[in-house]
Amino acid sequence: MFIHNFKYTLKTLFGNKILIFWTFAFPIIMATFFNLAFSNIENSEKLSIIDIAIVESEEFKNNEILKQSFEALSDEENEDRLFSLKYVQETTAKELLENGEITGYLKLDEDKPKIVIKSNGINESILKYVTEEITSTSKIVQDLANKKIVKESMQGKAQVDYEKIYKKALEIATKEDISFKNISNANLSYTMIEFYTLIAMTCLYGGILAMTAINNSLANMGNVGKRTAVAPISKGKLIISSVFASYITQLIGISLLFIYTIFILKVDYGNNLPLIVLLTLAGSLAGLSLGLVVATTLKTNENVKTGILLAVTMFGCFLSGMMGITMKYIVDTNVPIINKLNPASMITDGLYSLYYYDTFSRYYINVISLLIFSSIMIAISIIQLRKQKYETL
Amino acid sequence: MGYLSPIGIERKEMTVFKTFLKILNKNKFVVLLYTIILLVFGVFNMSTSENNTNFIAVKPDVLIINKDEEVGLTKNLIEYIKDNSNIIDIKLEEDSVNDALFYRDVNYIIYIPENYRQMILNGETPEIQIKSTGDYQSSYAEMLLSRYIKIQNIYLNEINSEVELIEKINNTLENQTQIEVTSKLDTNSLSKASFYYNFASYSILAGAIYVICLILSSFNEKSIRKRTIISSMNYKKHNRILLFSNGLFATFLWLFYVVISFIIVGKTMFSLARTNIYSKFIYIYNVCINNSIFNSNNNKQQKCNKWNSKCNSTRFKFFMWGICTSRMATKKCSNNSTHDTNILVHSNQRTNENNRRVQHRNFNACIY
Repeated sequence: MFIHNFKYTLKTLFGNKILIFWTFAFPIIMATFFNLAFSNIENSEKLSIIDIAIVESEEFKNNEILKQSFEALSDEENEDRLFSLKYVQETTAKELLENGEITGYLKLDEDKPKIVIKSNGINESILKYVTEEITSTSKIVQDLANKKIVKESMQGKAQVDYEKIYKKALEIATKEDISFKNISNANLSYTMIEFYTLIAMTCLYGGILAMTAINNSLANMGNVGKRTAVAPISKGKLIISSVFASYITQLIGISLLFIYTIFILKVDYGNNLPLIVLLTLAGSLAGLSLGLVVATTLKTNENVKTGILLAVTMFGCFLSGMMGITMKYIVDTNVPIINKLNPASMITDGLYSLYYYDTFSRYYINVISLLIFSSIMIAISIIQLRKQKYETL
Repeated sequence: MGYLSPIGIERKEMTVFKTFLKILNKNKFVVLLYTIILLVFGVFNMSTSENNTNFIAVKPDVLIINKDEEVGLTKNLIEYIKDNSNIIDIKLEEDSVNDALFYRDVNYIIYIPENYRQMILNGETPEIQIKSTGDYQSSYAEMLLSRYIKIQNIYLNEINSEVELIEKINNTLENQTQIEVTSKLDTNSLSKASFYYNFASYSILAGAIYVICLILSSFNEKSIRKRTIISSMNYKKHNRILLFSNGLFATFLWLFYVVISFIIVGKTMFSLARTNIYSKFIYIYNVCINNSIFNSNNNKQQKCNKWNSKCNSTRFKFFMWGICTSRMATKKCSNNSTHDTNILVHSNQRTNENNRRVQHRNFNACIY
């Protein structure tokens, strides 16, 4: 009987096209849209080469430090190239600025650099900052050279080699190569959270499958339920086989989503596949148990049950960052208890911790939380199912 | 033959239009609700800053984790970073710090090691660890830090006294370049306009979808649909009037939001010749939404007609088109703020962040 009901529940579920669309196809369509919408957002935030112009003048040609520094920063062979530089007349520079072809231009006004920009912005700030740094370097060179000259004069040297001192000072001022030890994790792509919430949504949407399967065994939900209720077979076996069939269907759906996002959309879930599978199994179980609770505790028609389940799922996904990734961070930092009880957040956070963290403690907390959540939900469902008696139908 | 109404529609046709208006009147609170949300968010966001036409350097969001005593050289470094960036205050637990970096609450984290000051004074080179999001704000923060350390290292070989060294570093860093801003447009007003139109697209989307769906589903109720089918009015004409009415509603909705923008943002809207691009895009966006909803709703009604079998695929195409164009429209809105007025996105990183978040929200709203 177990196999028989299992087989027919699978057939019923796969035969329900609307159900299969929402649990199988809808997440894949969503993933495609997410990929279309967010794939390039992070690349556009990286520092790109800034177009600038320098007004040609004798003053500039004579200012060695400024000239050499800007040329080095605009050198196409330089890995740390910051600027794309043009030497132009002032009128042309104004035109270029007006047309938005350059961020700003630099000119020398009584030997002091002056930057002309159109508006405030990060590129403008960087241009100003780099110019100030070059001027500072120039000041340092001057400072070091003067000190050396004074020192040599005081030592009573008859002839001071100004050029040599100047070159030495320039060498000191420019040789300093500062580097810091970057200890940030390489996996910093925040748009991944969108895909993780999608996995969470799909896991929880599985609840609809469980709900549909269980509804067929409930006498108050239709003729099939009535016939099943009067059949001389073990109700336990019937329910377990229905739930098992819906769990298998759910896992097939989520596997398709994983295959699609990993191989076609190139979503990064980290490198630990067995742990991802474990989390997915626990997440799907949470979705299934949520569906069971809604199916067994609410005495209403199927549409209302589906509506409530969808509303709970979507609200959970909203809090876990589906409609704006910062929402999860806001909830985590301000009201962490909400996301500790939210199964969508547990799944999202589990995948996030696998992707971002090297340690697994946070991941295991999420898996255990999901299992506890599922156990509580299943216990409530069992209690509700055992209590069911119908005086009239 | 009926007589012509003031807007040129025959009296018989006015029945459909009047019914449309009646149902619209019942649902006016939905539009008002979204408008109130827009105004609340808008005013909250817009009440923050004064007018500004001068240069203001962008400040990255930085977190300093200092393991050394905050005196002397260490204190000076922290003060320099504080002056040039927004210092973010969060819990200093490792997980909280890492989460803040991942969710871009902070762009750059500087770890000042233990005994940093003493090591510098001893002529050693302490290793400063950093964490960075890799975006332009973090690159800028790294430039700030490198400049300071570079100056410190150069003068360290020349000066032995800590006080003198600090003074020399600060003097060198004080150097300011003269800067001229050619645009006389108020950057804050432009940020406000950008924020408003980004959010307005969401309100328009939600308002239009909700109201038009409600109205069209009222027309599609089984009993009403049957009455419409047996009436003397041609179904094509009926649909045409409904489409026209939807268009009119969408236009008024758009006009309503544009007028509000003039009230909220103020005279900057008048002074910007190109800012009207905002309203154009938002209108195109609105039309797209309108079309896609109309198609998807009317499809049910039109199933009885032969030619409408084609509508199944058309509906899906329109739906997709609606989603894609709405995304393009919102994106274009923020792009315009960058390229056409050359101010908004780059003027204030926060604004850019907002744009991106609103874009996320709009796109998600579109799907749900």
